[in-house]
Amino acid sequence: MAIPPDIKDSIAKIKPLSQSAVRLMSVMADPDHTVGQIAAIVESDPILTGNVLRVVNSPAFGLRAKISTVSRAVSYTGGNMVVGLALHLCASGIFNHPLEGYESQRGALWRHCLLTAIASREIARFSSGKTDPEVAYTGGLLHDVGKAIMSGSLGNSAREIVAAADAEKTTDFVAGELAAVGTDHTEVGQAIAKHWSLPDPLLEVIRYHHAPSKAHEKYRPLVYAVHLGDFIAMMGGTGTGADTLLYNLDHDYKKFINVSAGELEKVILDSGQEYQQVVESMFGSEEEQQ
Amino acid sequence: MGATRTPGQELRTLALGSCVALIMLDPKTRCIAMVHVVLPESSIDPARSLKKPGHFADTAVPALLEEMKKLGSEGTGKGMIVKLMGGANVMDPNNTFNIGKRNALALKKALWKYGMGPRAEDLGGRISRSVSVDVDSGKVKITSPGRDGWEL
Ligand SMILES: [Fe+2]
Ligand SMILES: [Fe+2]
Repeated sequence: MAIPPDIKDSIAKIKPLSQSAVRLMSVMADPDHTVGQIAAIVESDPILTGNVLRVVNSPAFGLRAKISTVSRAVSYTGGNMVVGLALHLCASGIFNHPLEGYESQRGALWRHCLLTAIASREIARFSSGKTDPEVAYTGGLLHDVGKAIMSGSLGNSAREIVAAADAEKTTDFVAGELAAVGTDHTEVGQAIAKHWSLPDPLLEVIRYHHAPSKAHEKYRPLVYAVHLGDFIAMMGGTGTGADTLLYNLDHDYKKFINVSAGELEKVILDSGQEYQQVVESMFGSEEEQQ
Repeated sequence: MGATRTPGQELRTLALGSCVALIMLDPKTRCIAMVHVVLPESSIDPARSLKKPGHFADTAVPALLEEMKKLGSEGTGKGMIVKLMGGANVMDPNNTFNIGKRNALALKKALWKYGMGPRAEDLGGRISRSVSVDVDSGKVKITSPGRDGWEL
């Protein structure tokens, strides 16, 4: 399948990522990266610096003393959160794109990607060292970027895809997108990632997070980690609307991720708590869900 | 977790996913109560279950009865109308990701201890439900993106 020309045009018009976001992602992809390297990138970007300091000093972090240096701030927030902030700053047009096509709201894509990122990182710890948790986090943040563009092309198809899925006439939402639009959010996402010159492991995550067995062997454990992280986010009710849970869990995940039911439950609790903290520190306190 | 008997008020919970909403209605006091259960067993994290008993099926049931007792219900579970919804399920032959199903089962077990059982339920499927219930009608309304709403 090829991406229809109007979608190609929309992708070509997407703003490039900031230099600091790109550099942060490549530093984080190196398992031996240091806090100092991350702090240096943050310091070179005044807007990012301001955001990192705002977040670390927010009530959700609960630190008593005010933090005023970037290196101390980064040692508290961790590199993951810095990457998340950098991406949110430079690609907020994508992450906060309204998702009418999925019958969802502005901001839903960012929230879903954030929880997927945290859960994917935690799940990657059960890969027996075959995938780096930090890369899984970045992969989770980006896995559904394609939805920002797909949303506009879906029109009213989501309703039909959901009805077909509920009647067990279609297996998953990706197939529905493909039939309705001629492409799906993983192919569009991969094209956006190429437009942004993202590295191969991230391209594979975006392209195959709903079909992890098709990913290049080298990146398969990583793609499986994000595949599971995505399910954890949807199971937590943090999806992107009509497509939530209408995907197939690849039962072969056991070959790559050895997680027990009890361990998964812990991952769900811990990811949910961290997600809440990050959302509150970025956007202020939210009405607590019952 | 919440309970109310104030006319005009409603309780709601957003996007349940594999979580299960347990609703109790007391016909005597016209009190309604709802809790959003995330996981089946509190033994996975006893410390958290003390702070948030509603998170776990086994501790959610007594905690919800306690909330209703504060509003004049007997608190024993006797005569309660119980409804369950949510628990979207992920098919997993490894028995790991099917948490929705395990949540629903654990809640039924916990209810059974008080001699209670659901009068109505809308569980499972690959559906993330949002749920609301109001004091005046006691009706449960369910919505899910991409679908028309329904009642229970
Ligand atoms: Fe996806
Ligand atoms: Fe997703």
